[in-house]
Amino acid sequence: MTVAELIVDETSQARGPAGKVIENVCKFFAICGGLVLTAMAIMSIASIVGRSFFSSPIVGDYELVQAMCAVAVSMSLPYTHWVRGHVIVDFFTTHANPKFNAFLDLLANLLLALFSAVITWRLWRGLWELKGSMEASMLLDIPTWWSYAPMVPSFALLCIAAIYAAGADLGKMKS
Amino acid sequence: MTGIELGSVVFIGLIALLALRMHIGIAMLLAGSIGYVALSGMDPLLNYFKSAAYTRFSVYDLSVVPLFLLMGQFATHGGLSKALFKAGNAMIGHWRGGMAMAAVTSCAGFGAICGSSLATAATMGQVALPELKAHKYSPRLSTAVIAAGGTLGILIPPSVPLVIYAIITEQNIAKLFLAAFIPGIIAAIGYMVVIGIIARIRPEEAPRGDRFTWGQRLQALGETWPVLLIFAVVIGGIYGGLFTPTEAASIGTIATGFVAWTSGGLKGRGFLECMYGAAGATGMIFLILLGADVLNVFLALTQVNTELAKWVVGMNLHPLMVVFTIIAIYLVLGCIMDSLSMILLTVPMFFPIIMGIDIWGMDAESKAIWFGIVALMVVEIGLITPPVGMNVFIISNLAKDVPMKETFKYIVPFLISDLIRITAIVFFPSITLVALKIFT
Repeated sequence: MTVAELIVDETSQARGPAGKVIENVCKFFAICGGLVLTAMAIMSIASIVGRSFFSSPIVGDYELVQAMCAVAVSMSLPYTHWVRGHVIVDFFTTHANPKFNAFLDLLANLLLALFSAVITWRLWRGLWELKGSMEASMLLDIPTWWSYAPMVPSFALLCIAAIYAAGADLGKMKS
Repeated sequence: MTGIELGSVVFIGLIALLALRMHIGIAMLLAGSIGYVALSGMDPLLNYFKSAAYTRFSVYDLSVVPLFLLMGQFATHGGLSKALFKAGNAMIGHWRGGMAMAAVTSCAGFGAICGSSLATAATMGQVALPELKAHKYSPRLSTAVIAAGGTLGILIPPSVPLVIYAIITEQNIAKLFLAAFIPGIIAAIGYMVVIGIIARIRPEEAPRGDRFTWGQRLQALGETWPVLLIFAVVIGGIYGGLFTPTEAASIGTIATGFVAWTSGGLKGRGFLECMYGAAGATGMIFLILLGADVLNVFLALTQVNTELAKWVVGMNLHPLMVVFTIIAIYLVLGCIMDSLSMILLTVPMFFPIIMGIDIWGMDAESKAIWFGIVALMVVEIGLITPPVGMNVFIISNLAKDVPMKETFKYIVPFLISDLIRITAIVFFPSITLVALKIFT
């Protein structure tokens, strides 16, 4: 577990105008993710009510949960990274030179940027393939690529946030 | 290189990456990807990444995780922590060390609607620390009590790590929740006994609080009804087969959100803070899940896990020796890692070993559930052991005047009670399994 769920760190990174923009977009994505999650919860309840009192559950509630969950989770990722909410093992490096640690953090951020870039690219390709093959959910016929659509910008934003954080690490190394 | 050699090399590389401050999710992604490319080439990996994120994030059973996280955020903002502490204090505050015990019972109560230990420690700390201070409790005892009590957050269901364990090992979430219940209660009682003993040795550190009339007590208890109701509906609903865990978590989230809304906790920035808090924790957990997915695909290709299990089982060691070795590994890892990462990293390896050996003649399902509870309790200890006990960090943030060293010193008796409980459950698995027998 991380501190991110408790402490919304407003000062973790020195930010210029670009940082401010990234931050606000990350926050916007986080709120959207939370709202999708809330909608998913309300939908589940509606389905229970329909099932128990009107013997008519919401058709395809199961697949709606799956799609909404994937969207809500993806949209949370950039915010987590922005507030440095990821846990790391700093046991072995607590007493190391801060510049060396900044260098290690830089590497970690670059790796995350690389992976999120690759995943963005692959999701984008996957989206077009799914669109082409018209794959859709079983009951509601929701095209699977619809869920991919919010995931692509989420991972792209994660990549941007990681690059920005890498820049901040570089600044720390120089200072 | 054979698959097993490659698997071992990648695993050692992974440990090195972790030691070098790499986030565990990224480290797993990197190690898993390198291994995957070495075994099957670049194209299969790129192909796999096309669907990996969606496949992992859209698992129906996993959807309870973000829901429980949001529910915990609402609970934190809902003022229920105050009601719980008041009720505990009204009932037992006048005992020796009673107010500290009330802090433990309210942690347990809060744990019943919150699946995270850190959130429990932080929330109860905000409520209980000022009260304990006002009643002349020693600061170091107060911080230790809340840090230890916070671990009840995930021991008492709902529990996020237990959901993850259930999914990795393909066990029933409802049964695991039920099995965690009695050990959770025993944990709370154990902590109260520790406080009682400390209060007798050093009465000046844990004085008696005020005595309340039964009228006041009933009124205070009455104010905790939302907690009882939400817990009963969520856990009862899951167990009674009325709802799926996701549906139960949905009800819990919306109900807790409603309580937070009526108590004014969502006003102003409150609602946004809930959203941010849930998003931060969700992103953290699911990036690790994505990394673990890649790593486990690779490990499955190399068959390292099954070979390791075969090797350990083939050594014909005493089963208890195997179990206690695993516990020892968890205790060491717990000093430097967080509980969820530990579960994701180690359960795929330890679980086949446990399933391969005979422990007290338990059947496969009982063994899987029992091991889940033991593992959960052991990794939880990592939250209160130095050098990186996260719960202690959180509490130190709230009580800056208490040196962390002092808190860790007073944590020791609580750790002893943890170890006694874990040993008891290893030797008497029925402590955790009896609840299943009663209700099935």
